[in-house]
Order: sequence, then structure tokens, then C-alpha cells
Amino acid sequence: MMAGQKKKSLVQAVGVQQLVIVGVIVILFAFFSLMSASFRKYTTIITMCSYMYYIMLMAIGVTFPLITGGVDLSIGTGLVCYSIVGSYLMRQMGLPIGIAIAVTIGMGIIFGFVNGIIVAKLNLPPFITTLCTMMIARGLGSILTNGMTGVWPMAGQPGSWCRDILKYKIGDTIYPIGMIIILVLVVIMSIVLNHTRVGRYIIAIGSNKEALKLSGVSVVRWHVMAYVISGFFAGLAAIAYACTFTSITPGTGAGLELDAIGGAIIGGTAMTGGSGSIVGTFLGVCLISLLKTGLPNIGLQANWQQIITGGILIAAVTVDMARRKK
Amino acid sequence: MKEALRKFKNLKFVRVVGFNRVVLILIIFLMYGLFTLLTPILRNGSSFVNYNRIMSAFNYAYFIGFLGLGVTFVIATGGIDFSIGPVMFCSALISGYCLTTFNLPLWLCILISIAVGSIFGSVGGYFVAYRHLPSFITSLALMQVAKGVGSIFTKTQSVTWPSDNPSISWYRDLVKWNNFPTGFVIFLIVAAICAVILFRTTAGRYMLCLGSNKEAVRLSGVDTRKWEMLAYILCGTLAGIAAIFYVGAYTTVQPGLGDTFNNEAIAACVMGGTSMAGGSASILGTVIGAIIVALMQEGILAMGFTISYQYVLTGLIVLCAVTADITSRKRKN
Repeated sequence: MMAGQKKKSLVQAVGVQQLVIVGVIVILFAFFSLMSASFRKYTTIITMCSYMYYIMLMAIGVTFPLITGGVDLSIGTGLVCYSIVGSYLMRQMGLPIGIAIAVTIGMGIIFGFVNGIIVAKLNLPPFITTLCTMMIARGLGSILTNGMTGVWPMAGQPGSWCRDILKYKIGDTIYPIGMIIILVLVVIMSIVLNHTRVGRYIIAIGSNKEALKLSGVSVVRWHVMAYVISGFFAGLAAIAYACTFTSITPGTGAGLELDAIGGAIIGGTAMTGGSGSIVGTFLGVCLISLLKTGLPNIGLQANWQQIITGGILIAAVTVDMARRKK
Repeated sequence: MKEALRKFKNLKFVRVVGFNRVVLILIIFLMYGLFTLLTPILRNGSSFVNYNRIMSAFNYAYFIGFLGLGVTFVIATGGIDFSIGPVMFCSALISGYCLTTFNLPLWLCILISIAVGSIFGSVGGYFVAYRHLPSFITSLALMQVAKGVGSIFTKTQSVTWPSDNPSISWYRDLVKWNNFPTGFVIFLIVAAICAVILFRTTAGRYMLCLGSNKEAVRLSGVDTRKWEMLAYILCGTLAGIAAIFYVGAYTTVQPGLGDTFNNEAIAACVMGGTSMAGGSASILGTVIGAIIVALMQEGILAMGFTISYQYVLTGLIVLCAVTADITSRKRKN
């Protein structure tokens, strides 16, 4: 009897949905490893991690606007825009990489702040607001840099230490130490979401904004904060993206945000707002990245990735809606 | 001044067309004047005014206009559709591939194009109406699906519709026939049909009612799901038609693109006075909005700026239009 109760509380603590995702990840991992020899290689894991970092960072950030009942669509083209501007500062103006990184993250925060002000203060629908800033970010990147391709330092060049943060090479073996940073950020943001005033108010905005307003809290400030967090993480994602791909074409990036949003929703963040967890988001993105790396390895063309993203997104939201109805 | 404005608002023509639409028409002339003035200054004497330029603006207005008409129905129900641009490209790719590779007759390919659009519309409509998914996330997902399907079907190759073979390139006459803009006539006819559907039929009335008060319509015993889904099907079908006019003007389609057109079509809608909150729409407004978007793009390119400026401007226009709509609603309440 006691044992049964203890078991139940463990399941409750982690969350049923999260446990299901872990199960699915394990099964898929086993399946892909059995089916494909190329998937079993250590380098595949490294590649998967590199592709996962920027999606993960975007997803951690976008979880906050999602919890307020909004969404941030500007992160995808935004991260391309920020990293292009960062590379422009380095290449054309000869500034040190530290400043470029600071500006990249700073631009993310500014975009987040603008999104937040328009949504919270002017009461525009979040999806249309961030669609517009997505469009603006898309054009702005090429306007500010005269349409030049952004190039970040490659391995061995001065300033390549930013790559070593994510992938550390000792001898011939590469260690994906970016994963440690991601895990630390997941822990920090979980604490921010569940145990600080910012996080609690952001959840409250999603579940009952009117009640929060009536209890005398300045809702606008915390609502803006959710978008600023999202923008800040899009800035971090921009650096991870730049370090992974080194050359970035202006005008791209549309659709990247959907992987992040999909990850957050699979992880149990409600489309309607009011609940969500960073650990869930982490697991959701792991699942999406696993599918995106694994399926091409068992013979599906790369083009299927877009269909997979779309399918996962619809499936996740449908499940979320059905569960909430119950 | 105020008195004059009030008198102007009370003119019969202005009341029929709507004050917003009259302002938009004035904006078209203003933009045209501005571009005529600025182009020679910025591009050393090259002129903006010529017949080809107007034709090229029209070419752009057609497919943006068809997309805009479709999304007007969806926005009227209080939803949104971000998938129309890629769906249009997917339709054009699949039907073009059938035409060039499988050598199917042209009329069948046009039907295939429209059918592909309708299928995407039905899928989106099903999930939004019957599964109660938020429309923006459904359409974003479908956007990715449409991009993927288009690339897979054509094996990531771009498709060029035949333009010099008279027996299978009569679709180009739909757009331009001996320098006469036939496309504009068809566009106006389709717009008129859309206006009749939206304002004079049960389906249209229910769509508008859904946008203003869904719960009330449902409680009065109407199967709201059916009408909501129909709006998305119409939207997809019009995207399929837009595909024909896109290839009629530009012949070549590339896979994996098309999402910038969503925003331009939505911009045309919200500029024209269709409210993002749902419940009120204007077909005439969308038509004028599409012309403004096309003229803006033509002007930006003529003045020597890149297309990126168009993206930024479209974003700003939608933001301003939606803000204006929300403020005027607040004032009315």
C-alpha cells in the first residue's frame, strides 16, 4: 500500500506525459539503431546534438510566451537576422567577437521587448504581432548587411572559441559539451518558471489574466518579460546556429520556429496557456531532433523533414486539445 | 475641415464604397504619384510610368488578390491561414509536374491545381473546425507540409510551365491576352462571386456570424463546424486558382518557397478593412489591398531597393492596420 503510494507520487512528480515521451525516445532510439548502421555511429550523435542546440534554446525561450497563452513566431527568422548582423560587425567593421556576440543577444532582447510591448500594451493578437516582426526580421537582416551572407569564424580561426563552447575536441574525439550548458539552462529556467515571481506571474497570465490584473499586479510588465525571455533565448540560439553552420544566408530561417514550438507543445505546454514545463520542452525537442536525424538514416529523403515537422505539430496540438477537453 | 470631412463621408458614393476604401483608393494614387516622382531621382532618369510596369504590377496583384480573397473568408470566421502561399506553390508544382512530365492535358492540370488547394483547405478546415485546433498553428504546420509535399513530388526540382507551345500554353491568355489584362477581368469576376457568397448566401452569413459570436450561432442550433470548414476549403481552392495565375505570369515555380506571400495576402486583407477579430470583412477592400501590395512591390523594385524592404514594409503595414482596427473597436465600445 505504502509502496504503491510512493510510486504514484514519483509518477506525478515527473509527469505522465514526460514519462511517455522518455519511453518513446528510448523506443525510437532502439528502433533507429537496429534499422540503420549509420545511425549507430558516434558522429551521428554529435551531429544530432549540434542540430539540437539552437532548436533547444529557441524552445526554452518560446515556452514562456506559450505559457502566457501567446506565441512567438519571430524567433526563426530572428535568429538568422541577429547572427548575420553579428557576423557583419566582425567581418566588415572588425569588431572583436565578444562585441558581436553581445550585439547578437542584444538584438534578440530588443525584438522580444518590441513584441512584448505590442502584445501586452497594444493588445494585438500575439501570432499576428510576431508574424509581422518575423517579416521585419527577415528583411532587416539583409538590409542592414546589404544582402551579404553572414560568416562566423570556422574552426581554427581567431574567435573560434565560441565553437568550442558547444563542441570540445580532445585529440580526435569530439565531446558535445554544449549539452551540459543546455542542461544547466534547463535547470535554471525551470527554477525561474516555477519558483520565482516572474515565472509564477507568467503562468498566472496564461491561466487567468483578468484575476491577476484585479489583484493589483502590473500585468503588462510581466507579460513583456515573457517575450523578452523568448527574444533573449533566440539571441542565444542565433549564436549556437552560427557556430554550427558558420555561414548564414540572409532571408532564411522561416520554419525553424515551428520545431521549437512543436517541441514545447509535445513537452506538455498548453496552446491555451497557463501550464507548461521546461523539462517537458527539453524532452519534446529531444524527440523532434531524434526523428529528424533518425528518419533520413532509415531512407526517408530530407524533404520529409518538413512534413514530419508539420505532422508532429498537428498531432501534438490535437492530443493537447483532446486531453484538455476531458 | 471637420464639417467638410463629415459631408464627404455622407456622399452616396462614399457610403456605398465605405470611407476606408475611398481612403485606400486615394492612397493608390498617392503611391503612384510618389513613385513617379521618386524613381527618376533615385535611378537617374528612368521613368516609373509605362505600360509594362502597370502590367507587371497587375501580374503580382492577381495571385496576391486570389490568396487575399481566400483568406478573407477565413479571417471573417475569426481564424487565420498562414499556409496559402506554400499551398499555392505546392499546387503549381504538382500540376506543373503533371503537365511537363506526365504530359497530361492542360485543363486537367488546372483542375489538379485547384483540387490540391482544396485538399489542403479541407485538411486545415477539418482540424480547425472539428478538432478545435488553433487555426494559426494548424496552418503553420500545413505550411511545412505543403512545402515538403511540393519538393517530394517534383524531386526538389523547380518546374517551368511551357510558355511557347500554343496548344498547351493557353493558360497564359488567362492572365494576359495580346497585352490586354484578361486576368484583371477574371479577378474582378471572382471577387464579385466571393462577395456574393460572403454577403448574400447562408454560408457567408454564417461565416461572418461565426466570427462575431461563435457560441451564439452554435446555441441557435447551427452546425458551426460545417460552415467554418467551408471557409477553409474556399481559401484553399482560391489558393489553387492563384497558382494558375502565378505560373501564367512567371511560369517557373521553385519548391520550398512561398511563405512570404502569406503575409502579403494577409496585409491586403487587413488593409482593406477585414477585421482580425472576425465578424466583419470587405471583399472590395481586399481587391484594393492587393493592388496596393502589388504597386508597392513594383515601386520598391523600380526605385532600386531590394525585396527585403517589401518584407519590412509589409510587416509594418499589417501591424499598423491591426492596431488601427483594435483602437477603433475599443472606441466604439
